[in-house]
Amino acid sequence: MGKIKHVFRRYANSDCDAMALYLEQMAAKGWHFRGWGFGMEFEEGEPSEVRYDVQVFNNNSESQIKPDDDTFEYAAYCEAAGWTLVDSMGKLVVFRALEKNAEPIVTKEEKFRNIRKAWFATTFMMLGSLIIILLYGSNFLGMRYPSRFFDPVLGTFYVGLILMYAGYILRWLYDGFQVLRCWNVLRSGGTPFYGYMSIFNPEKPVDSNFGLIYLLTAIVLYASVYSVINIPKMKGGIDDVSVMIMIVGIMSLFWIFNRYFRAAGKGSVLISICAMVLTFALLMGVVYNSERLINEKKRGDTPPDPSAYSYPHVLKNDLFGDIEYETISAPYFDSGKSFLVSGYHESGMANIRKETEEFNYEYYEFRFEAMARYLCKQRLRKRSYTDVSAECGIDYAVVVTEKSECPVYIFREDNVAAVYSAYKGELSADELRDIGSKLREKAAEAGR
Amino acid sequence: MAREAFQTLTEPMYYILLALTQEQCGVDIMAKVKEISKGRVSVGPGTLYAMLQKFNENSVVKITRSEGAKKWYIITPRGRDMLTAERERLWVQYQDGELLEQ
Repeated sequence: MGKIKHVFRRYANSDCDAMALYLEQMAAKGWHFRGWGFGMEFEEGEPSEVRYDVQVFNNNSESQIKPDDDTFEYAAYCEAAGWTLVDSMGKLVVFRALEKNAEPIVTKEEKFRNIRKAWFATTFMMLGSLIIILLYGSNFLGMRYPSRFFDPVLGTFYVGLILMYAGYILRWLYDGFQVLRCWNVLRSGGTPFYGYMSIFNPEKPVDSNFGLIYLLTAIVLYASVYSVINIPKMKGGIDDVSVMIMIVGIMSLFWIFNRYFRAAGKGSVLISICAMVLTFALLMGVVYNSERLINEKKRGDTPPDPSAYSYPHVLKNDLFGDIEYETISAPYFDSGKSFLVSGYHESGMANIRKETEEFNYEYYEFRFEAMARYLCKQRLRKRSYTDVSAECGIDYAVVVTEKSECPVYIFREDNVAAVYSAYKGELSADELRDIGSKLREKAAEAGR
Repeated sequence: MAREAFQTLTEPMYYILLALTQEQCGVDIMAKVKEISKGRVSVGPGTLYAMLQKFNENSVVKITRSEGAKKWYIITPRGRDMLTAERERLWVQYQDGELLEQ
């Protein structure tokens, strides 16, 4: 057996001609395609002129990783016409010509119909992906759960999901564009070439590895944004890294064992299902664990001792007055009492709320300024306002009296924001100056 | 819907059905078609595979036996009717063409 070369190229159904051409060019260099395993595998041999044909076979499913009975039946027909089956992956079936003048497997019209049918079949997947993206994406667009987005576990999970589904949609668009282009060629009597040649070298067909490029770019982008947000403070950094490593690790395991799955025959389905269940269980375990840890901190049957909780902003909070710790029955959601704390600090947001008869405020500390800006915009709810930033001496300070029972102040300095409802009426200039200076202090503290 | 799809048989369809008037292994149909048409008509394996599947779904042909990846087919009475109808249509077409000689 000759040397094996692994090539990591991926071809979309609508790039089947480009793939056949690539296989022919490799054969001319002495590398003969022997199938998919760890990437595309080529065996070293004599350089020769071999004809390849890559068919889109609609009886195969998109997720299939090797030929099945239907594929072999199909291959038997092709064999009689002078084409031998090399391997199949998804709907792509690769044939090598046994003789120079082998009959074409299908007519150009049929080839087009097959590719169009394969494309139609992915439409359902695409629509599903679109719905999932809209569902998850709307959460982020509306920033209803901003903390989740920056949570090490959930954030990575959500972003990963969204990227994956966006990939499906991109692929669908790509295939659809090819189908339209080739239809025009076919209509004008030509023979369409399914695939593209490199812009730099018109002799060289390009693969459709855009998915991988896209994914890598997205991961790098996300990782860089993520590290910019997280690393300066080194909060939960270890968690993020471990989750990332786990996901990457599982993905590479799938990649490596792919070829063994293929060799294992029908049992491979079982193995794949087991592996998927395991992955899912692991992920759920991580999510559940982190949720449980947070919840254990939050809730308790007996009134907890506030000093036992690491809510530094609660303990040293003196932004708008003193807080009687004895009145805290639980450090989380106790709106019936005078005090409410949401502990989002670990995942990127600190939120403290205090309520008395005179006032009610929420204090937010974000990991970056855009979130604070967004909060201010959101809390304004398109109401008209009066600017009071000059009185406070901070970046942003407004008072809203429209559509609310009392004047509502919205303050922001860098990445710190506060929303203050003044039940007793408008604040005096002195009070505003005082709040401004306190917020500046807080912002300086948070920025450190 | 499927019935309408076979209103007129295309040339490859006509010859595939002709080849199946005797029990035939699917794989051998290509050679048989070539033989019947004396080399004039050739059917690609992909075309044949898809066509047989469609014929079988619409009970124009039926599977008589199968061995591994190989399947044997034969025409059904319905298929025979279609073939006869097509032959008559072609015959009428030929006769009408005699105008050309006048």
